[in-house]
Amino acid sequence: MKKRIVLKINNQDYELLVADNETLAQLLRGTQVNLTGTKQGCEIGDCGACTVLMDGKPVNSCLVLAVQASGHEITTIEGLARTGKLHPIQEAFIEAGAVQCGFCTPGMILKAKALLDTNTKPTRQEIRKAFVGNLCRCTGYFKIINAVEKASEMLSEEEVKS
Amino acid sequence: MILPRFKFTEPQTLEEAFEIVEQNKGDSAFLAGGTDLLVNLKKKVVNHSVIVSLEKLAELKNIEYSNEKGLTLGAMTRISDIEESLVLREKYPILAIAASKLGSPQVRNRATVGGNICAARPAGDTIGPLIAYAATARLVSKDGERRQPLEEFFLGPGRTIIKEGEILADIQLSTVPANTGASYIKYGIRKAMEIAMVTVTTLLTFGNASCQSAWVVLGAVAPTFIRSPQAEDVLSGKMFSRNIAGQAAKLAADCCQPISDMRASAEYRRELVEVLTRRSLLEAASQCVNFS
Amino acid sequence: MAETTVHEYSILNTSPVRKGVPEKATGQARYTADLSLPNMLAGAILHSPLAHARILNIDVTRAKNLPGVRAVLTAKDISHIKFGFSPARFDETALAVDKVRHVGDQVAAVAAIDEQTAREALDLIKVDYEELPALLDPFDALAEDAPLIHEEYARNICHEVHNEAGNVAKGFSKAYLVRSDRFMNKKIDGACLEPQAVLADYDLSGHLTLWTSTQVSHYVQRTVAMVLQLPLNRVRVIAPYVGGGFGIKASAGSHELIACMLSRRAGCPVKLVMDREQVFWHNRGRHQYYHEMTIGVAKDGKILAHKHLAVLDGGAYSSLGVITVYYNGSLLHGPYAIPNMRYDGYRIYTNKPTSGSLRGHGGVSNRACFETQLDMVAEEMKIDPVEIRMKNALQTGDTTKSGYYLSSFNMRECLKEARAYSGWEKKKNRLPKGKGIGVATSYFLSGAGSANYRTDIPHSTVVIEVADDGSGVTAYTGSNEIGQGSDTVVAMIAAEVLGLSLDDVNVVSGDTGLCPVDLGAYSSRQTLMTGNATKQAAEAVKKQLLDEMARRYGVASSEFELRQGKVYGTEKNQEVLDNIRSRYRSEHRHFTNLPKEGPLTFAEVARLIYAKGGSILGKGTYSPPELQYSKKWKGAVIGSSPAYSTQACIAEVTVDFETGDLTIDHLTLAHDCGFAINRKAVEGQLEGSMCHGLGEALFEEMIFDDKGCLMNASLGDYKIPTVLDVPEMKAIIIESNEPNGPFGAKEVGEGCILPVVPAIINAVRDACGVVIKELPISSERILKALKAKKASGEALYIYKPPASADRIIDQAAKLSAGATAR
Repeated sequence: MKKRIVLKINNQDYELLVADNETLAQLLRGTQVNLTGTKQGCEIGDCGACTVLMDGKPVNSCLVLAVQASGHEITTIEGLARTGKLHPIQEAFIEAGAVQCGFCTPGMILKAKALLDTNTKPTRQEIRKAFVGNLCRCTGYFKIINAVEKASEMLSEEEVKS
Repeated sequence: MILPRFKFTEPQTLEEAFEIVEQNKGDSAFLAGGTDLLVNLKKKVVNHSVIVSLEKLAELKNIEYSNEKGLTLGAMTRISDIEESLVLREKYPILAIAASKLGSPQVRNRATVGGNICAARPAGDTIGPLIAYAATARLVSKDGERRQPLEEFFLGPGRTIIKEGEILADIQLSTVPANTGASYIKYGIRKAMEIAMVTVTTLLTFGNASCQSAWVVLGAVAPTFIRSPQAEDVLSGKMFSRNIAGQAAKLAADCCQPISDMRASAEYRRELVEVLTRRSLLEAASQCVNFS
Repeated sequence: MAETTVHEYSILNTSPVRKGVPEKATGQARYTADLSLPNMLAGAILHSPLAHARILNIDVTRAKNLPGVRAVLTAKDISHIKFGFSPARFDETALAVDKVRHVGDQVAAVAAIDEQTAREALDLIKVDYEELPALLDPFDALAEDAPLIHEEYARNICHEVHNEAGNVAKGFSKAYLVRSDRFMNKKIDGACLEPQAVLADYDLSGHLTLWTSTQVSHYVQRTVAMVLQLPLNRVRVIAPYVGGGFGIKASAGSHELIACMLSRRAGCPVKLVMDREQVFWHNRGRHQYYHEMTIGVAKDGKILAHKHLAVLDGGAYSSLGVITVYYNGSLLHGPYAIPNMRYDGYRIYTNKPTSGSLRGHGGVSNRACFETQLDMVAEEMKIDPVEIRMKNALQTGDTTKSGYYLSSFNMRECLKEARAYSGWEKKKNRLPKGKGIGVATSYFLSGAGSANYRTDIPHSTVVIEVADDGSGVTAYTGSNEIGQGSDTVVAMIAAEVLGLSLDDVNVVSGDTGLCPVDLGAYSSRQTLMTGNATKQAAEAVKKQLLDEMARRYGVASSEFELRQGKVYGTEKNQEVLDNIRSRYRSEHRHFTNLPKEGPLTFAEVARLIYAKGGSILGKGTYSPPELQYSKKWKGAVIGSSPAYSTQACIAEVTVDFETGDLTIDHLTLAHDCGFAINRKAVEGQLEGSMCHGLGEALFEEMIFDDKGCLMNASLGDYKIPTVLDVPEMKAIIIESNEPNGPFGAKEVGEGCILPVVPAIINAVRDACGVVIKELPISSERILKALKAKKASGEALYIYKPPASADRIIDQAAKLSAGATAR
């Protein structure tokens, strides 16, 4: 018997029927919601590729049941670009050369958003500590840390402008 | 890896929860943060046909602190909230520190202190500091409630004194006496995302420049968390010194019963206990007294 | 100068935004598991729980009857045509036929309406096994009475190589110092973030389309066609976005064949996604090596002779392992001049997951053994470790003992720059106790000299088609973009030659239905080979444009230049220009942004040519030239390449004497890539390699129990570095202008991992006087070594491989004693 859930995904309301044993990751990637930007690298919370924001906080969507997401606000990577314009964090990642195979990238970018929402000028060490839950095999993390630094600069410039 | 089929229930009250457990004798499991249970279900380490979510139980989310009564920490308190709480960082610092070393930020945003305790892993991060802060667990059931010092809560890896039909409601920590220093050290293979090879928690309360009481709690080196009474005895009632710390550390290493597994050998764990206990004691003591 | 070389290129040697990266950053990029088709089924594979067993019977009745199950396959339902990597060693079947050879071997497969049903169906399949003795290490596998894992291979020897160049005995006799060392590593997994996935669609007209996470669309296409007995023309393999490969996806896998077979059987598309555990069982990662190396050095530090005996634990099948056992020898022929070398290598089958070609294929473990040994020689002879390497370094124009001609080779520059950046002079012998600095160098090939099957076809063909209105071009290449940036390299080369912006160059890659053949992303070949083909294709397009202008203007084509989207030179005759422009403008009435003044645009000229004769196509090909290698060194052809990279790494570490804890404080890596087409991409490869090498040095190992089950088949228990484990790093680009490479470029991507592990081992030795010769360098091993050192009172303590490694090496030594170099 499927259960009815009501939630917001990327600022859009959804009313969905989900199985008890369906994870949030499966729900997002499945045919009802069809947002495949959230990736699955391990399905048990070891790699962070499935990171989404739940009420603004980063979680491994592979370890949240779809039913548990009812009543909450989920942000996936697809929810960042505003009306066709890249989010500054996305721009920073692109320009810094922080994206190689890209599989860890959605999780990395969302984690960066969560960090910069609470700490606008993180040090490199603070950035490192924030990203321990996001594994990357390609970049060695170096340019990812650079990208987050760059994003924090870009965001504060935007702040100043607005 | 997918989850096996199960029935998800989300009781709104404790009574409902008790009812569900009763109806599904032996076949239900509580879901707190999910970072442990869901992993075990996917890996087929456990199998339950009914999952009982504790999310909606307000009784498990009570957090209260007062200088007189100390801290009541609801079982469903998220590890990330423990990590970030200013009150906890100030009053129960090593609990906040231990919380910050658990898993990853993503895991901490879901995992709960109740889940960490009930999983009863010998390496569970919050347990050492909770024991050192003399925590008491409050268990509730349809027959009432009972309390148990956390020190006496664990029976073995994955096993606690919780009876079927009982739910861990909260943990109570009394106020920490003045002049108390504490330290939590976790050692693993990588610098993050580790299930500890060894954890050492020390808590020293000083009065009149000597150590009035000492807690030395070791994790991941025995079937459950253990204290080292021998180490604690050598510290209590004495002036603290590097020498005494060294003696205590040796005794701590002697009393642990580590196993060899794919992370480390028993021998190495024992050596780590000695070194890390000494360092932990020095760190705890340096918060309160000068010593040589 | 290392970092900045003066060029006159518009786009080469810069760091533009890479193709596909905005899509990856927005979640628009779709990897294989993200794809779906109408009426699609989920596939699942049943794996063997036993390491070695005969399959007596498989009962699929209950599985077949489970509602929602649409196809169930076992060996008796499918083709038994064997496949693998090298045709001479095809030893895999899509599903195990008579027996299973490792825990995780494929036994049966199911397609069902969803993944849940498919996996539940697997639980209903009943397999009767007759357990056979499991051979879990080479010693047991080589034993005289050991059962055979593959009937055709006596003593479970998959392959053996024996070579001698010069005369090592003579070389040792002349040496001032001779030392022998043993060394071992562990089986390593690729640990790409993206697990393998495949979506197979066999339609009712007999056409098969297969989307798969692969590095080698071409090899997968050939394998699928061969095994399923379909004409190649009816098999189309498409590599969508791929989340890393590192070599483990460089061959066709059973999962790909199984998905195709399920689709054919069920008459629907079938998607099959590996979970992380399956990825570990599939492995195709780094072999476990046991080395014994003997080195002889002259009084002045010159290496005179080197002898290398090695045993490779290959796992259950061959995969690329036959090549590995050759590379394990030939990748020691540089970067130093060694006049006398002997190599005896054995690859042994065992009942464990199959090892293949992981980044730095055949050059990581041997390099670690060699460089740590060389450092001990240097220490004993009181020669600075950087100096001894400088002294022995090969240079551009040299030829290795295996006959490889080094058309560009700047090892000395790599060492010089790494030494300078790291502050080696100020630090070596001046660091406080517990802190150390270590160096290592290496070399690697830039693309294998031959394909994996005997053929004369070009290794790369690229076709560039100009858009009909000239607004841009599309390059079609069978090469595989796996995150390393090969699509961008192709686009940049085409853009440079044609004077276009990167945005005006599209790349279609990895699709065998649309693209000409490219052998794919392995042996670090694409920059050089695909790059050369691209350059040629772009020049063919350019020629058409310039020849047409020459005709129209009545001048030589050399009077024209393609730059900034324009054809310079056309402004020299305003009448001709106006004529062409007015035609273009009238064809584009109501379009905006039309060219008004200045030289003709690329678009205007291309449109003119299209009007004359339709599609403008340029084709480029690349085959390695006749490669040099010594006929005297058997198998030297495996290792021969059009170009060779070289690299130097310096590691700085801190050792905690009480816990053995090892912290890597800094890594510097200088890599001679010939010419950096995309600078940030080259840096990215170096930074990624430093992290990757750090993981192998400190944490990574596949751990098996005594039944051959993998105990750490998860990313929590198989530990790759987290961000906190990786220090600040410095990537240094060295450019030596490789004549065989496009614009002087050669490989980056594999060579750069080779010196990292030994640099760390050497730094640990420098920090605390212990040399760890069993990877990984765990804190437990370091502490054990420190205690033993203290007890012995010696200045240096060598933590040797255990007795179980010794008996493997001793056994191989006995075997090879009789073998002559052939």
